[in-house]
Amino acid sequence: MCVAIPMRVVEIDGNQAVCEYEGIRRTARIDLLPNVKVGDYVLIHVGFVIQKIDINAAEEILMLYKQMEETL
Amino acid sequence: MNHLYFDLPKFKDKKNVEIEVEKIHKLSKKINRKVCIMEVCGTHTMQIAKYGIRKMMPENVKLISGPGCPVCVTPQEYIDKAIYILKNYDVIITTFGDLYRVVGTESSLEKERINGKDVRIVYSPYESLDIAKSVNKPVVFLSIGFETTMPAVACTIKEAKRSNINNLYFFIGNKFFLPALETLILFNRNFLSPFIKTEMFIDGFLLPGHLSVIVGEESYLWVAERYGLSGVITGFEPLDIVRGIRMLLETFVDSQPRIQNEYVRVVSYEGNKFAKKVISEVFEPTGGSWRGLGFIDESTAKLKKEYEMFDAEKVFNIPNITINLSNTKCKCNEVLIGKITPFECPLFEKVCTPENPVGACMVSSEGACAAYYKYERCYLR
Repeated sequence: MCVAIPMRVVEIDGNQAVCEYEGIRRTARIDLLPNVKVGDYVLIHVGFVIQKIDINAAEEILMLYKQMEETL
Repeated sequence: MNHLYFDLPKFKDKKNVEIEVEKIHKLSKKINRKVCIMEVCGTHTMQIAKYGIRKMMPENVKLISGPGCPVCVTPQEYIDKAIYILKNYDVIITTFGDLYRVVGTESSLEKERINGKDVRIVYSPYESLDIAKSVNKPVVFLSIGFETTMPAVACTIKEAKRSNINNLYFFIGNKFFLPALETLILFNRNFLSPFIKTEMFIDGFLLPGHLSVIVGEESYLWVAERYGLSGVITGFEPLDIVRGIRMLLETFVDSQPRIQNEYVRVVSYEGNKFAKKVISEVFEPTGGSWRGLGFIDESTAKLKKEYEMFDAEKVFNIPNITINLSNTKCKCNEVLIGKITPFECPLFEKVCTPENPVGACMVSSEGACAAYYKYERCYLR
């Protein structure tokens, strides 16, 4: 029920953003994250953008595992 | 820079998961007792089952499912009331797909639709607004969902008011998850209720990732401060989940209960302030009943006075419906609080299946019974 889908913003028009993930496009409302920008990765829940995804934070975590694998 | 959603597949990577599972096994040896971790989000329930995470765990680490699915905790009278509106008024009901097959006392939305009633499944509450604009009869949106979903509903209600739409109503069944979490903790410790006499104690929680996007890490601090329990806000990929479990075990080893955030890529300390604001503008908390947990103060959303004209319960004359649960063998109530596993319900697999569900935990794609039925029947009894 609380499923949220990660997508990337490709266009903003007023209160709506066109978002894309792997070729699928759909529009979402941006009332809950008004400062969202084209190019941002965002989470979408029931047709509303609810959060921006911090790509750097994700990559830092993955980097840790890469290092751990190398030391194994 | 045109990479596909950064490196999400790496969060499913077997090697990475194995690194964490090995750490979990090492930590479990230092704990020397049985520990019980509860996930309180339906998506976690599903992912843990799907990726077989339960069987990756050491002997003394038990994962149990809690009341994390809004459909499952919605009391049966809500469905009955929705069906009452549908039968007695000429309306269009819009609903999330999750609720569509949930069985009330006599019927379900699905059955009513087969009988010719107008029930439409929507992906977003906002679609109800467009439907209302295009028809000349009342549209009733069945609004269920926790803090995650409430901001979207609140925005839709505000927009309906702004654009003077007078044939759209909301049957509010939304619930605040945080008060229920506290009730669950109290139940679990037998402070409150003689109703539950479980031998099991919850040592820590995997906290819901997307609900936390809205409420933020700060909303859980009391779990550690008041009750000495740990919690980790956890994402939904397999690596997220095993990381969450490992972080919880670390707090058991050093005996320092605390709230941590594994899902840093989307969850902040203070949450989404726009979303929190719009919830408080449109809704206020009141007491309400939960399947499994009973009546909980301040746990159910109600429309504020200035939005009352959208309240389906004020507009339609709905009788009070009380449900007598004593004549059913369905054990959703006990499954929801982790008192029993779905395998221990006498109806599971025999009478109650996803094709012919008896209880909400089997209907909802995120219910514990549905997860166990789909993925876990082959092992672990």
